[in-house]
Amino acid sequence: MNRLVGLLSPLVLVMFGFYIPIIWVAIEDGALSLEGIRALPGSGDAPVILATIRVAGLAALLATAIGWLDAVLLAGTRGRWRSIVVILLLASFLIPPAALASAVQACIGSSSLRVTVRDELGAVLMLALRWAPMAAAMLLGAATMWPLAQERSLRTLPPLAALLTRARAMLPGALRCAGLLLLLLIPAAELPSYAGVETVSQRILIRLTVGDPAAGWQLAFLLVVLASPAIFLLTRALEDPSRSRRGGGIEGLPKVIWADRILLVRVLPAVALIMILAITAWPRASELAVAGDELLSAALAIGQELPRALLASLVAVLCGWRLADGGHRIGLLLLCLPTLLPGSLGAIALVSTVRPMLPPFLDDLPFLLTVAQICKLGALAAAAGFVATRVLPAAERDAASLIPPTTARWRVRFPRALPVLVPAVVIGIALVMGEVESTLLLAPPGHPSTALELHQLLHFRNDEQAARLALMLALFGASMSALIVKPWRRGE
Amino acid sequence: MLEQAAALEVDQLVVQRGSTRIGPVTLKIGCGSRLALTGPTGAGKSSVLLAVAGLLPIRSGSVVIDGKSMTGGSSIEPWQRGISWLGQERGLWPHLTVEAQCLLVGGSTGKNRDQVRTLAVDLDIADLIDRRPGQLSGGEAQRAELLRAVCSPGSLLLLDEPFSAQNEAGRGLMKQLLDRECEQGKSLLLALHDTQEEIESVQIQSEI
Repeated sequence: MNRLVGLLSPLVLVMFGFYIPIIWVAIEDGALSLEGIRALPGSGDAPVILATIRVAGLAALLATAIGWLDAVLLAGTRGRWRSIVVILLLASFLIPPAALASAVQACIGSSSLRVTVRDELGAVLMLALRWAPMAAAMLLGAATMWPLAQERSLRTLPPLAALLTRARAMLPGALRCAGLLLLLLIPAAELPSYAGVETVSQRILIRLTVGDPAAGWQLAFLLVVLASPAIFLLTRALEDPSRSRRGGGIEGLPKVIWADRILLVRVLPAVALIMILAITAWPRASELAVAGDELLSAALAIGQELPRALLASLVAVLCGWRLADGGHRIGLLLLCLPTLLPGSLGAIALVSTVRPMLPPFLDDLPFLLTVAQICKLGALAAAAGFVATRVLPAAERDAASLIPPTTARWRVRFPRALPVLVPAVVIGIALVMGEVESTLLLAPPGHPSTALELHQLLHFRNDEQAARLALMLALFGASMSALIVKPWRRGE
Repeated sequence: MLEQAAALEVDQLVVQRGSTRIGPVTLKIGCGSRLALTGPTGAGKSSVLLAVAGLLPIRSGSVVIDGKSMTGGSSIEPWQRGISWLGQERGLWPHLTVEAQCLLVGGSTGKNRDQVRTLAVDLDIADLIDRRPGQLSGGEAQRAELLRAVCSPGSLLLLDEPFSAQNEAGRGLMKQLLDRECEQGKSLLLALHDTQEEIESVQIQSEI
């Protein structure tokens, strides 16, 4: 009974915020009727599904390879600028991609950009470079699980041997990371329409909005069915929480000059992107006062949005940790699946089913928006919970199993999971702040949303003002990154 | 004469750890008594302790603690078994001070703050109990972990190599404390590398 409550309580929001509305609307649209089932997605959809999986898979692998190299060098060597490198890399991830694309277009011309990213290779490169810092962040977080005794003996090896051993030790984590990135990239929501690659998400949305909703829903369900076994396998090692945390600070880590050079090259694109953004945002002399006002209002909007983003991220990550802590693999699967589908899908279902039932006063509050964004953070929350349960060394877990479960959970296991959960919450905040799909459909009138404002500015080609807003988001992202980096570098 | 009540009865216990089969082990410990599991490295002493604690599945046999069977149909969680634990690897929680950990495992029925401080004096760590484990040496951490184990209300202490990080003085302090705990009715099951004259022992064997 306790186990059932442990499974269901973290899933209540996802059930009412995603699954029930989705199934309801799918039934209303005839996706589950006899006629609808006869017209299941046919071979016409196969090329799109394959193209999506190919782009997402290659991008996930490439992003993981780059992030793996970053993480090995950042965790295995020491130098003055390591923390700055991590902050810059993460900040480049936290800038909304639309703002970057717009700034790059403004600087180097849209025609040359379009030629570069017009095919699948361009799409793969774009997604891989964007998500590589996320892979590095996940693997750096996983490096904190390295047992202290093993870390110390590793530091007695010659630098190259130590780095190779560390890279091999990180490999299983890197493979899981690639799996998670695949899940996050399959919606491919960040691919602009001019990228020349049609994805499943785009096709689902086209069918939902152009008059064939049943086929859209069926395609969405097919995607879920195809991906579910992979997600279930990703959580296979949940029962073996036997790792411990890295310790001992940076003493004993080698100073390797070539590692410094690789990291310098690695950080150049991030610096270039931020510079482009800054140049685009820089006002002419006559616009200084206006630009100042814009920056101030952007900062205020971010400040207003922050508590809600914090709440959404906190709830999602706590749900993920609670499920992983209880060893509920089915629960983790259910938490992950909403991430797999386009955000607009869940938002459309919420608008059609839940909104009419809500009391009027909730219409003025971003209640549904928060629920939708919590659902959308599912994969991040599940991954964070999964890693957090493996942080606790077996000896500590054994000792905790001798005290009552609730005390053990909240006084021992939860505080010990915080080094993983706090960075996950921070990343979740950044993702919520940059989220557009649900915000477009669910934000109440007058609700301050930086992502939505950015979207509108870009739509009306106001690149300079958009760049200023994006720059404020980048500064916000960099300050959030700094919160994550400090514990990593200390190994605490 | 009445037979002494058993704190722990293990009958034909077999534990599987990877490809190694440990046992069958049969032993009995009376209230206020002590028993050591001995054997060569890898014989499975720690595995037997883990199985008694409910931290490792049992393949066959039975475990009865304080007259209650632990191997029946309904599973009895480790925290419900009335045991205290000191593992071979350091299991102090690094985010809490030693005293906070002692009070946490003690709950409402274990040792209170004054009793914890008195026991800390006995183990020569009275000035360390406000510290976190990261600020303790290996030997101090092991004594602190024993302190945490004896603060638990459990009547059966399971101690895996409890003296491994101690010098002679530290070992002496720990043994004196354990003697007193036995006098107060607690029972001890220890895993030790070597037999010790004052403790009855059972040899553990394993096969691959």
